[in-house]
Amino acid sequence: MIGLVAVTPTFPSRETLDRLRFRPLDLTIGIGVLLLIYAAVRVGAGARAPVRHAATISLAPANLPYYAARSLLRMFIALVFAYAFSLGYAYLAARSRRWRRVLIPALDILQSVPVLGFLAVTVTFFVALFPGSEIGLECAAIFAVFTSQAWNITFSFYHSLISQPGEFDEASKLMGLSRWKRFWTVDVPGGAIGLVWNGMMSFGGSWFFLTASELITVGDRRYTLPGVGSYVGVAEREGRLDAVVWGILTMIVIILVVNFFFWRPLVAYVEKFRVEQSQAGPRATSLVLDALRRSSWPAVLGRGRRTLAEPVNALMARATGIEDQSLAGSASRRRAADVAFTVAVSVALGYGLYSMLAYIATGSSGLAVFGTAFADGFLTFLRVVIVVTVSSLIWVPVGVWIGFNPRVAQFMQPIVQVLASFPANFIFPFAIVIFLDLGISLNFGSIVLMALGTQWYVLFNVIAGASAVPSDLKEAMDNLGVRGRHRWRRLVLPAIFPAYVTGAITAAGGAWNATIVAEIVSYNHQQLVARGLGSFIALNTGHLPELFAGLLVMAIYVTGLNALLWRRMYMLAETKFALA
Amino acid sequence: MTGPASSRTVLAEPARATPLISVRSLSKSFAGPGGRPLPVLDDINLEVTEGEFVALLGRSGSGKSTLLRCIAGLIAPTEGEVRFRGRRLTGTNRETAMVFQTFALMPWLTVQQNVELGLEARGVAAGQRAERALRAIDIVGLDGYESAYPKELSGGMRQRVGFARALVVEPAALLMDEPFSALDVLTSENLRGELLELWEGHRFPTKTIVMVTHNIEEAVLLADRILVLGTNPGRIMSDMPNPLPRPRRRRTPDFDELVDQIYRMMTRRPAPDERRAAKPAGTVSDTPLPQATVDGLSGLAEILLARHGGAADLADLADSLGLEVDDLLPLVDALVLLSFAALRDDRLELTGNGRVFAGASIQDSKEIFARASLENAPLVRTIYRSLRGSMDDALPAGFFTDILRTSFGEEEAARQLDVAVNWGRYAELYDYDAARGLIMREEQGIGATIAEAPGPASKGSLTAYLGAAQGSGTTYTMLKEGRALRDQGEDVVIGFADTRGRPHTVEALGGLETVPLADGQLDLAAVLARKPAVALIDDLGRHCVPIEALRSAGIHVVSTTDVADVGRVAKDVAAVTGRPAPGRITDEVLAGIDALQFVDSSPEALRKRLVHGNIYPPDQVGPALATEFQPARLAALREIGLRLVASSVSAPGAPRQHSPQDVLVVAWRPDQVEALVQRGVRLARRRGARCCVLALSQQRPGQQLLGQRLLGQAGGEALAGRVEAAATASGASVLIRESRDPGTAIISAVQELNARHLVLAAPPAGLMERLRGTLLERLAGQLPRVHLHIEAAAGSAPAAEPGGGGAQARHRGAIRVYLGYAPGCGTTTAMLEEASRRRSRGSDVVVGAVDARDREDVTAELEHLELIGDGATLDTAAVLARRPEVACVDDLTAGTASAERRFVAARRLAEAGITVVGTVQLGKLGGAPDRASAVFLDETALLALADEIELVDVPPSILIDRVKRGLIVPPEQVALGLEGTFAPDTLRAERERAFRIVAEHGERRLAAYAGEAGAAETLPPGALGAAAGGPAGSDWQPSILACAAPWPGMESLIRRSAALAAQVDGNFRVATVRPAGAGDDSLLAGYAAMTAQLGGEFVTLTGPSPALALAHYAAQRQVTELVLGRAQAAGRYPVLRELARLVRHAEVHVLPAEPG
Repeated sequence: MIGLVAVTPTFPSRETLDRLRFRPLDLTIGIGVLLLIYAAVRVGAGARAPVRHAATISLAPANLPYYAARSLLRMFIALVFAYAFSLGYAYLAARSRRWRRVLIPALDILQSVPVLGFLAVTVTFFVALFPGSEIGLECAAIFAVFTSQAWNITFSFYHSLISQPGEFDEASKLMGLSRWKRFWTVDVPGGAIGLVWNGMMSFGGSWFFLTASELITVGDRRYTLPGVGSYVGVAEREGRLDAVVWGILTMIVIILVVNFFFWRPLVAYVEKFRVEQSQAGPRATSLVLDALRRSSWPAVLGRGRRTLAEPVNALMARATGIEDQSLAGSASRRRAADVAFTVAVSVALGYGLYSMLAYIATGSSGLAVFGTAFADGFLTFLRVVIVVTVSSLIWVPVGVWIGFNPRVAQFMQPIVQVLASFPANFIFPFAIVIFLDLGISLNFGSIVLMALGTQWYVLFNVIAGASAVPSDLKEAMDNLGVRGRHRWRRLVLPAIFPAYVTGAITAAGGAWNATIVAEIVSYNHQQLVARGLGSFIALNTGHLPELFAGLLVMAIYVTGLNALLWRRMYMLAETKFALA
Repeated sequence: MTGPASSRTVLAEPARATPLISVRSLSKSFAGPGGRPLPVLDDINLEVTEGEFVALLGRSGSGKSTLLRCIAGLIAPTEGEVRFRGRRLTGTNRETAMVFQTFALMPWLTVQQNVELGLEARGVAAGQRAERALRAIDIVGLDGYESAYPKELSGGMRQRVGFARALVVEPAALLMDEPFSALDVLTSENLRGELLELWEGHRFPTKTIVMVTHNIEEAVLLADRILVLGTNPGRIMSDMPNPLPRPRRRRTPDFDELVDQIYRMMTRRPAPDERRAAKPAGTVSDTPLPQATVDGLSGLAEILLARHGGAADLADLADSLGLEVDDLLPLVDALVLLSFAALRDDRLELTGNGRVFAGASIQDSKEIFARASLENAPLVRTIYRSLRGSMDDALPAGFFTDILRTSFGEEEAARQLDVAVNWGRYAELYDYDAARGLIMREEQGIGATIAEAPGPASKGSLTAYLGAAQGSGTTYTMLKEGRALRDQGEDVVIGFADTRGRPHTVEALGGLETVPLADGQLDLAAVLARKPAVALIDDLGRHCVPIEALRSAGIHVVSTTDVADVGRVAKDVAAVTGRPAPGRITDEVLAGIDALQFVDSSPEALRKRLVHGNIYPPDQVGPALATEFQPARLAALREIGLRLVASSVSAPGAPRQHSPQDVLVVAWRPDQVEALVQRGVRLARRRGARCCVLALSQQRPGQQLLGQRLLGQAGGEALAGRVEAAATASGASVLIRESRDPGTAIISAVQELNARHLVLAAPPAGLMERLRGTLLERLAGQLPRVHLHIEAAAGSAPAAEPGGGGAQARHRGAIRVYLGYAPGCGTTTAMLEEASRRRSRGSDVVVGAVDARDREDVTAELEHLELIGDGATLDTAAVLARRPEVACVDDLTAGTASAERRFVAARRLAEAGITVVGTVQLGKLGGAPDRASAVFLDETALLALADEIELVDVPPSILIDRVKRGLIVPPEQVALGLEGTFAPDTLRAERERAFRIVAEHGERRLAAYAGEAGAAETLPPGALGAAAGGPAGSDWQPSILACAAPWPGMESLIRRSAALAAQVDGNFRVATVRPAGAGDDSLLAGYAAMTAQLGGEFVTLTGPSPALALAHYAAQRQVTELVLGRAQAAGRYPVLRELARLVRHAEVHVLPAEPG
């Protein structure tokens, strides 16, 4: 078990915060990304067509295994795409000085854009791409899952590439490894642990998006895909709590099974890529992996891989060539190319920004829509603040208690991990029933809904942080008789601070994303709406200019908070409170 | 195995023609801040032929790894080129292979896979690949580990894999980047041996090896050729072949010699001249701090002292410590920079200071380190001064990194600041808040107490003595002023004094500390470093600039000049002398002089001095008399000088402003009160300051806290009453405090009054001894700028004036004396004129005695004045009964056995509160003592008696004229008089003597005058007498013992003790107690020499307890005053506590931390 892991379903990853400065260029690139999305939306909007084969969902529990399989398939397809995307994107960003300056800020923005917000847009786009079949809908759902998984994995890999030891680079060059060979023998193994861990965490987090994307409303149209998410969604709409319970049980089983048969073996496998100079203590183990290793499959596969690898490697080596910078490069020419590149990018961005604003201005309320969006955003911002604060107040003490008791921690940690990856929207119906009974407005109730999904990140990270506190520190405090308030101030809070910050960042990011489903809910044929940016986006899925303004505002809020608050907290955690 | 080996021999032949590697005028710089290039390598030229094993040796930062990577084609040179087999490199040099310090093995590949990686890249088929890899693994001795993962291997084995991976591709050149430095000593030695075996046995499939290392022995052991790279930027300092035959052995003379030679090369400093020029500058940019931690450098110093007796060869040191050059040299550099050690070739020797630093306790070593780093580490000094000079308590660290970035790169700037923070924190000079990035002022500890040169706000004053011509005596006067200041306790040094071999002037140097000249020139840097309170610098015109620098550093300067050097009058002077005058003193400099004093000499006197050979050597006298010493010319110059002084802004002789040094007396036992109060009052008078007596009674809980209440109690009454009585009697003020905590009460009183001297009795031995002992230490520690005077424990200190006269002494009158150097000077007239003046101002003036009443002018004056008695004899009783404000007593030397000596009477009058105006004629001074009484008025007594002396000066020529006209002596005695008393030579000599007396007196009283601002504050007679050597007739002589600790930094203590001795005219000793065992002889020898120069005696005592040894010695030699430095008293040693307990009949002084 690795001590601290960002369980980030989306939104800022720790690596984002590692990079200190947020330059104007980053902002420009961010805007550029929004423009790309905007372009896609325009295309999609022009090709809108009805889907004739919208599935109907049967609430009979017997159908659940089938639905679960459909959902899982989507998840894994998305994961494959996410890995492919991540490897390519991160490689390009790490190896090309020029592209790095575009790609990395773009990634920052991409993970700040609420995935669910533009689900409506992508659905229309993909449906138009595959008219008359469910494939378009499937693609849209997979794409939503993909977007929730990819960014973290990409950042992780990018980070491992740029922090690769300089000697590895020098040794590779002197040995004359081709780009292809180097990628697979040096780069990917070096980043393997991060790739797997971040993949696992993103996978867990993306259940939320999958289930939300199986039942999509765009304007007045409803699209449904067979899956666990849509099953629970329909049950919710129908007010069938028994079916909701069945859905929840299915979900738990899926999570456990995937964890046991897929992630756990992978995590155990990648231990061998750990760059450490000596044998470390306990490491991840997996029954499944042990079983696989004992079988003859590895040998068979290995032989197959080798016979295949030789020609492929030779071919790819020729294709990719050897990475070798010329010693005779002209600095002035390089600088000229840089300038040209920057100018080109800037011009494109300038034009795009202009046309996007012009498009938003064509909406029903023109550019004034930004005013509404910002005001709504502020309400949502307040909710996020409350969610983070309250869950911190509750879960920090609990987490510390669990973390300081190794036996409890051993038992609780997997549970909390499952809870963290469990899609919170499955529990929404119960909460809504209570709200309706007590007459609580969703304006406040949505805070609880948001918290349902995100509080676990705080707890999970605090447990991890607390169990990582060296026992000699605790013993020293015991020895000095430091207890009570002083112990909290002098030992506990500083020691768990880095872990807590990670948890809080994740929780806040998750909370922003959850607003889109938490500020507007349907239960038993009623629709409850809370005022906020999430409901603004959800209600405007049919009005593209407004939708776009909403997305833009949310991205501004999220990146602004990252830059102003979380980055600082993160740096503080890294510099002052790091236990290392 | 034969394959690679044979290929090597085959290929070796043609390679002789073209070198394998040739580096041509290669320079490399990396981009610094703002795009400025930071050079790493500069103009490297190098050729490596086949078969050579080359070692690149250099300190960190010499760019040796960069050079290796340029050869590997991994880094593009900024200028120049690298050729391999004659071809210019344009990309990665694939004919090389590199062995890395960190091994750089892929942890996820097995040993074999790692080794095969390079072959695979070269397209070697799988079968052949495995075969070659296994062979290489076999060569390096890892047979059997093919399928192991690197993490299963030890460091040494991993590096073997690194070798195998490099060798398997059979590179033309094997490049090694510190291949053994990540391994432990044993492993690396073993691996080196195996490498050597393979190389010597030609079993290596490579033609040449280039190895980067910072291990000198490694280079000597392995390489055929050693290149030493210098730092900043890297240049090849030396390219030497290694002639030692293989196999090489360590610990052979040749081997050691080569190692030592390389050490010398690597530690070579810039030439001495350069350093001298660079030292005063000592800026942040030209003196970077070595990357050494305080722990490291003090550890090295300690080991050097403990294990090597203070000096060791660098090679031995590195060897015994297992340190490599990169680790050792920064520490060595730091010790040398801080003057803790010196490098003689490759031998590191601790200096005296360094020895003490190495042996000191934590607190002392901190203090020593603080001083050393302030003095020698410019960055530490800059930070410290910036903080002292800033309004804020903290400055952002970025402020300093910005400064550093201009001279160093980004990283180096950060490193420099790190070192400075580390040093400054350890030295308690400042603190650093990493979270906020602020460097903060240290409010307590060493940083708050170390006195640094004050900024320009308190610029030193400049006093200049102006002479009209050569031989006017300006230098003499300057030196005399210096001595006088020294006697007042100032820290005076001679920076430059041109005595021109004149005997009087040379004599005047006596006892003053001289800063040695540098090549006959003023050594400004040395004077600045010495940082005295006052510097005497002869010849203002020549030293305008250095004097300004000294003044800027807060040093007061006394200088001399000549009218010819004053620009304003240069034209006039030139007209008089017929020679161009230098006129180097501009109006600006002239205006900057705080006190310009004219040293007058009549032309006659000058000529006489010249004739006597006091000015020029005999052979030049004749011509000089005829030219520049023509009377007319001298007179003209004198006139120019007088005019100049008159017109100069500052009045000549303006008293120097001294801050008053108030005295606080603490009394807690009634029987000590009088002695203590007298002591304090004397001290205060000597400094023209006020004295306050603190009556301290230890209040028990529950008792009332009012002074009145205290007075009503038995013990309290005795104390408070006696204090009040004693204080009123001597004009001191009283402060009554009650406290259970005497320490706090005293400290707060000192701070309230801003007192600079604290007089108190040593706590009595007994139960409270420990407590009181800590009280003294507390006072010493918390009042660093206060001079502590601790009276002897026995309470019968000889320092106390016998008779306890203080009780009777009420308001004392002043004694003013008009001094004439010969009869007829007009002293009586002057006295009577003053009497009239005072009377006209409303004072009650009487004339007690007046001579020469038959003279007209005298009679005229007398008409307006009240005469008591007949004037011929002084009726003291009548005057006392009359109690006037002012009494005139002519001729204080007069008196017979029957009548009271007039000066004794004058003292009585003064003691009764009457101001006495008297006259003294030099001729009558110091006559034969009256047999009936052993008391007579001589020069010394006069100086002691008179509060003011005014010279009634008449040029001898006028006096002679008066004599000739019969105005002074009866006509029949004129001829005789002109031969004897009024002979011109006699007159001139007497006049000079009178001048000297007046000057001497004036200087002695300078401090007393300060702050008076002309007001006639009365000074009691005897105040000075006591200060100048105790009561007349007593054979008691003060004896000063400076207790110097056997560690550095005692110079100030010795100097100040000497000044104290000079002040009280006592003898002077310095004692130091050598710690049992090791001692630093050079340090003590330095102290001894210094003591001797200051006219004292130096003794070295031994004993387990310093206090006991000192006390014993003090008792033996009847020492009256023991002087301790502040650091000794406030330190962790119980010296002060013990001394206060042990010493009897003496006073213990604790000097303030540094002279203000």
